Amino acid sequence: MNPVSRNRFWVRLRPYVFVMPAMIFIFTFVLYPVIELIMRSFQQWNMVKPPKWVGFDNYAYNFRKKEFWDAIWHTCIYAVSVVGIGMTLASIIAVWLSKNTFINDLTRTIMFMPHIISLLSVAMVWTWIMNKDNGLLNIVLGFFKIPPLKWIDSSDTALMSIIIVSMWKGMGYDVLLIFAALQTVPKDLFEAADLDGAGPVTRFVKITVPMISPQLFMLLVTSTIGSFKVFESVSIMTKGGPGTSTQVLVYFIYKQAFIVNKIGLAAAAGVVLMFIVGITTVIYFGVLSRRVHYQ
Amino acid sequence: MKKAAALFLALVMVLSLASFAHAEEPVEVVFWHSWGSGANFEAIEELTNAFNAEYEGKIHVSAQYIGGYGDTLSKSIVGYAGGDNPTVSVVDACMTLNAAEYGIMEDLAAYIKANDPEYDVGQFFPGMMIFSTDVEGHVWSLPFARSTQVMYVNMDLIAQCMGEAFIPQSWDDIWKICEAYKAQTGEPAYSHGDDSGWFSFYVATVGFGEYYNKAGTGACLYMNDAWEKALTAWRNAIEMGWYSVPSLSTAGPTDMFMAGKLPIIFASTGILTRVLTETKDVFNVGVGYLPGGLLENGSVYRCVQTGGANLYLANNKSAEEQAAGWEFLKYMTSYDANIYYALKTGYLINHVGAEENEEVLAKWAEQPEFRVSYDQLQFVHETYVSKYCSELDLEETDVITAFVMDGVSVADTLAAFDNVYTSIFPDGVVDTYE
Repeated sequence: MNPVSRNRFWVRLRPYVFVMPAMIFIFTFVLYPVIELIMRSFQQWNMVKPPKWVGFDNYAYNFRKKEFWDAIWHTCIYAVSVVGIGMTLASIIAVWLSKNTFINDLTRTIMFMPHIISLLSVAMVWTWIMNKDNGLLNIVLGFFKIPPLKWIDSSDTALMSIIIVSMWKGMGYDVLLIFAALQTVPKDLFEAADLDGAGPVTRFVKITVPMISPQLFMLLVTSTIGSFKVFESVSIMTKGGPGTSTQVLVYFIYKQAFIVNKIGLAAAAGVVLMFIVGITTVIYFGVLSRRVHYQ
Repeated sequence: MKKAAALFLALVMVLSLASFAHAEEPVEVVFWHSWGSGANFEAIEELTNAFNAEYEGKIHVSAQYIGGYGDTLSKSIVGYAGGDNPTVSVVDACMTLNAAEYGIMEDLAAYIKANDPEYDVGQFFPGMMIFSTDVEGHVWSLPFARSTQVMYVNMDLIAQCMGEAFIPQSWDDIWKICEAYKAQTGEPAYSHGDDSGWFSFYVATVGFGEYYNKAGTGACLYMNDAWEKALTAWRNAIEMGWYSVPSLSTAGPTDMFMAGKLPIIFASTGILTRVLTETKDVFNVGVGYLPGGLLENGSVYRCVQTGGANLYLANNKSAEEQAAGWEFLKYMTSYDANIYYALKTGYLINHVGAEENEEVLAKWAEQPEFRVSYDQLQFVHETYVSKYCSELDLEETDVITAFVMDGVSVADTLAAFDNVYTSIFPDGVVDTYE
């Protein structure tokens, strides 16, 4: 090979060599686990005995179980509530606290505090606050002559209780992110809107939301993915109960994998979860990303 | 030549030293257990220390608290592939056959035959080996901290509401106490866990029926309406405010009993020392048999089950580690260790002849509460044995929790049970015990 062709060969090869370490990393730590997960979902395996190929049996078994569909349903309710209500509230609070005053700074700091506390502590404190007999929430309800609720001790209110705790914990982070985005909106746009006689709602809908839409979109995608993977609060506060009323998909996977050691069933549920999250993300990017206004 | 000879001699010296050093190293045995505090933890520590002292330089056991029986088994399975599982571990006695299915346990019958033919498995009460032995004659574990449920009674509260202190014998006695205590204080009078094990007790003593069939392959769900009667009685106790419903947000039954807020609890005999210690000088405690069903002839029909922990030997360790582990397992399940452990904690004696041991008799004479669980063994009828029990237990408990905490109707609960058994048991719902 003469020096010229050797040089051409290197020029063509060079990009691949440069991206090779990243590709190896991605394959090893991203693609391989996904392939392994999919493969395990077609096997019967208890982590000890050799795996046995069972085709789609694990999927069929899960799809036949009411508990599995309930888990999907609970996960969807949780995700829609935490993302929908949580982001709406966070947006309102962020706009409300957007002026840089001492009180607003203090309020934002206090609101952010739950985010830095471990979920274990948060869940324990809220378990006490939601005590059906003498918890703080029921005392407050009693003050307004509202009958006490059983909170996490009843399937009617247990999922709602977990949603409240999750929103409370995540609210500060959402507010901070939206507040930071609000600071980037040029003031002259609001001044121009004022001159045109726009009211506060019009200004919020026509100026604020489009201008902070990239951050809102990012928050929407990450919160949704995070909500579909909820586990810790359920595991600590209710262990999926009472009955299966707070059993979400990841808790279902945990039970199959680490309590009854049926890795195949857990993997099949994991693939379904991956599919749901993937589809949701694709829909977000396909439908909503067009409405995102990048400056 | 000289150089080669010198090198050879040096090598021989190094190897000799290495083998000498190796011989001095005791074999390390990791033992996982489920008691993190109290008399049970102390007893484990003391027995392990005594073993280590006796086998100093030969075997060293490191006893590690891991968590409940379920956690301990899960972690053993996860660690098995990498050899990070313990050599000896506790296993929920009732789950032994299920755990054996995972393939992590040594078949002790074969191990004993090959390595320790003098060892006699017959030293244990035959009933204690039911969970350990399968139909093919494999022995997967040996009895260690075996328990049964007993009734703990706050005699002062009973005297306060009934006019005299007594230990209730039948469900009718319990209902009368509940009625009186509720009328007097407005509070519930008894409690126990809300898992399927307790439900099977209702089925036996309220419905006079069976739970699983003898082979453990089907559920006797509709036989003689026993399950329906059991659910109806439990539901009635909940609706009347007699039964203190366990809660996710409040203290459990045992803590409420210790705090003097609940007159009666049904709980493991393994907490006997704790109960007696913590309530000493606070209130008088009575310990009795679990209530039975009152028969038409006036006698009381009783039915109890055993539980607690067995010990197993892992099957993926070297011959040397297994031999060391076997020595430790034998020591912990020996006659002497069992008596020491039982008298210290309240767990059952499980060796033939232990009931005649002088130390045991002296303890029973001094503290008759320690005898109750042993005497109650005459009423044992294990209707809750199946190799599917770990999977069943999860789903049954979900059904029971929904029934107890959410007020799901009796009919819907029976239908939910039907779903569980149809999907897990090979024989589903059966109409005969045999």
